[in-house]
Amino acid sequence: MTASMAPPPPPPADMDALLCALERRADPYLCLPAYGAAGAEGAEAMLERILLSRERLKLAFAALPFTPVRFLERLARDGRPAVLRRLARNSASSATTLLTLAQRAPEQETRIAIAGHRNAPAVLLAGLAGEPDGAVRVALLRNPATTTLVLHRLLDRASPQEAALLARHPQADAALLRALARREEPAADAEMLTHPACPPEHLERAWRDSDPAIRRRCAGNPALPREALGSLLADPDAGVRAEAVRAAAGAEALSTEDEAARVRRAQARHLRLPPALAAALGRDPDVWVRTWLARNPHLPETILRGLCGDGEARVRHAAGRHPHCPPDALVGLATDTDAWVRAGVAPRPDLPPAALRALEADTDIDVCSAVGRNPNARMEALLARASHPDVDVRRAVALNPRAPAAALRPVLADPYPLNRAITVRHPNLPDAEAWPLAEDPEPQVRFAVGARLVSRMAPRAVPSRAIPLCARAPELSPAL
Amino acid sequence: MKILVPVKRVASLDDEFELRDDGRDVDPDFCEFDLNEFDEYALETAVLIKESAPEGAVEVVVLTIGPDDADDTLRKALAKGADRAIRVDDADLGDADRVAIARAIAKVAEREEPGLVLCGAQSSDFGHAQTGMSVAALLGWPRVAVVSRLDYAPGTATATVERELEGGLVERLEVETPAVLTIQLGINTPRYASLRAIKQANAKAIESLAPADLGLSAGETGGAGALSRVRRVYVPERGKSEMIEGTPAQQAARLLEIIEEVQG
Repeated sequence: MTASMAPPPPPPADMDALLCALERRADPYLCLPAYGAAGAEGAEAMLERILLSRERLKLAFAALPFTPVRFLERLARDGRPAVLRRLARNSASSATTLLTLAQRAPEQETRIAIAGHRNAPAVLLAGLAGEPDGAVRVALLRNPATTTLVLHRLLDRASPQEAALLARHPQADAALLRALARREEPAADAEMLTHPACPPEHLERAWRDSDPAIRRRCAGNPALPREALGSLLADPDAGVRAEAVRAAAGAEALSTEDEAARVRRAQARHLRLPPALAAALGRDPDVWVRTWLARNPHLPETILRGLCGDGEARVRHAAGRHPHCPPDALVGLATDTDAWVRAGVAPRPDLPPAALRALEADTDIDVCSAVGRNPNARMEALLARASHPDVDVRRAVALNPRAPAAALRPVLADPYPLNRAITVRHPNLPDAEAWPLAEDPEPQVRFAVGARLVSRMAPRAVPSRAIPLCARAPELSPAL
Repeated sequence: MKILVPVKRVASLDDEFELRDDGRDVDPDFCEFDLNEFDEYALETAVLIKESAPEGAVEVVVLTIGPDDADDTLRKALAKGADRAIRVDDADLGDADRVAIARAIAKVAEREEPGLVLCGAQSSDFGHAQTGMSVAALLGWPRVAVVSRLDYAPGTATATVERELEGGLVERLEVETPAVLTIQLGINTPRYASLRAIKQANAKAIESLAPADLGLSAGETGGAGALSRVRRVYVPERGKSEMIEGTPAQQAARLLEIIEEVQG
C-alpha cells in the first residue's frame, strides 16, 4: 500500500534505458514492440528470453497481426507445427517468414495458408503451383498476389472450379482468358465477363446475349465498347441498367431519370452526376436514392442544402456528414430534432463554435460521444466526457486528436482496458504519465505502452531484410 | 450476513487447438484462462446486494477450488467488489468432477454460514450446470437454478426469484434462505474493475485451505471423490463433401455411384 504513495518511476529517457527497463520487468507484452526496432538490435537475445519463455506466448504472438515482423521471422524457426500454421495465416508475416516456413516441409494446412498469403513472394507461389493438392491450388487461385506466369502454369490441369477462379483472377491476362474461353466452361465464361482483360469477342457475344444475367455481368466491365455500354444503359432489365450506370465513366450516359429505383440509386452514387439529374434525384420518392445522393462527394451545394432539410432523418444524417456541407447548414442540423442527425455533425472540425457549444450540452449518448471526438471541444466538455458513465463516451476523449493531457488523465485510469490502451498512445500525453501503465493488469495496455515508447525512441522502423528471391528458389522444400 | 460466491477459472479455446497427450483435455497452451462469465453475473448480483445494504452489513466472500494460478481469478473478483477470497487447493484436483468440487464448496459454506450461495448457472468451458445444484444437495438447502431476477433484502428469511422458462414464460418463486441460487447471464451488467480496485485487490491476502482443513478426507476430493471420470475428449470426424466435376453426364454418373455407395 505504501508503494502507491511513492512518486511514479520516471520514463526511460532513451532506447538503452528502455531496454534496461524491459529486461528488469521481463513482461512479454511490454517487450514485444521492441523486438527488431531500430536501436534495439543488440537486445534481441535478451528479448527472446522473455518472449519465448512460454509455449503459450509463442502460439499467441504467432497469430497476432501486430506482432513485429522481425519477431514473426524469428518464430518461423520454431519447431511446433501449430506455431508455423499460425504464422502462415498471419497477415503480417513477411516474405522472409513465409520462405522460412516453406523450407521446413510444412503440413498441408500451412502450405494452403502460404499459397493464399498476399505477402508470399512470386518464387514461392511458383513452387506451389506444382502441388498436386487441390486445396493448395485453390488457395493460389484466390491469392491476388499470384502472378500471371503462375496462373498460366495452373491452367493446364485446372478443374472447372479452378477455371472459374482463374477467370476472375486480377492477374489473368488476355491470353489466359482466351485459352479459358476455348474450353467453353459456363462458370469460367461467366466469371471472365467482369474481367478487364476479357477477350473482346467474348464480350461482344455477351452484351447481345438473351440472358439478362449474362448481360448484367458484362455491363460492369470497364473494357466494354462504347456502343455496348450505350445499349446496356437502355436495356429492358433494370439490373443490367444499374450495373451499366456503375461502369459508365462519363456523365453523358446519365442524362435521364430511370423508372427503376435500383438504377436511380446507382445514378445517385455516380461521381459525374449531371446537375439536372442530381436535382431530380434530390426529389426522388425513394429514400435510399436521396441517401446515396447525400453521400455523393461531387454533389452541387444547392442540392446538398435541400437534402439537409429532407423529411427523412437518415438523409439529413448523410448530408450532415458530407465533406462539403456548408457551415450554415451544419448549424441547422446541429439543432435537428433527431439525435442521430445531430450526432452526424457533432464531431466535425468545421462545425461553427456556437453550434458546438450548444451540442456540448446535449445529453444524447451518440451526440455526447461525437462531441468528445471534436477537436474544438472545450476542456470542460472533454472533462465531463472523460468521467461519463458510458464507456464509449469516455473513449471518444481518447480518440480526440487534440485532447489535452488533463482531459486524457481520467481515461488513463478507465476501468475499461481498451480505453486505457488507446489513451496511453495519445501524443498529447507525456511519457511520464503513460509509463506507469507499464504495470497495467491488461496485456493490451502494457503492449500499447511498449509500442508508444519504442516508436518515440526508434521512429524509423527497420525494413525487412532483402530477400534474394531468385537465388533461393531451388532451395525450397521438396514438398513444394 | 455473508454471500458466498464460488467462482471458476475457465479456459477459452483458441480458434484451433491441440489435445493433451493423454487425450482427456485440451492442451493448456491453446487456452486463455479467465473468470467464468456466468460467475461474473453471480458476483455482480452479490455486490449489488451488498451495495444496497448499509455499510458493513453484507460481506461478499468468493471461493475457488484450484491451484495457485486460480488466484488471478480471485483477485479479479476482489477488484470487482468481493470482500474476501478463499482458495481450496488440492494436489489431485485435475481429476475432480463437479460433485467432488461441490463437496469442498459445501464445506466452506458450512464454515462461513452465508445467507446465500450465488453460483454461475454453468461454467463456460464444460457447461455441466451441476456444481451449484450439487452444493445445495450436499447442504440440504433450498435451491433455484437459472435465476434471471433476484429480489432479496439482506437478513430476511426469503428471497423472490424469477426464472425464464420455455415459450417466454417466467416463473416467480419465493425461496427460503439460506439458499443456493445459480445465476443466469443477463441478470445485470457486470462491472469492470477500476485500476485502483485492481491494485487494492493485489494487496489483499487470499486464504488458502487444504481439503483436510475443511474436514474432507482423501476419498472425498479429487479423482477419488469424483463420481465420473473423463475418458476421452475428441473432435468428431466431420462429414465429407465432394465437389462433383466433369460434364453433366459425368456428374450424373458420379452422383449415381454415391447414391449406390450410401445405399450399400
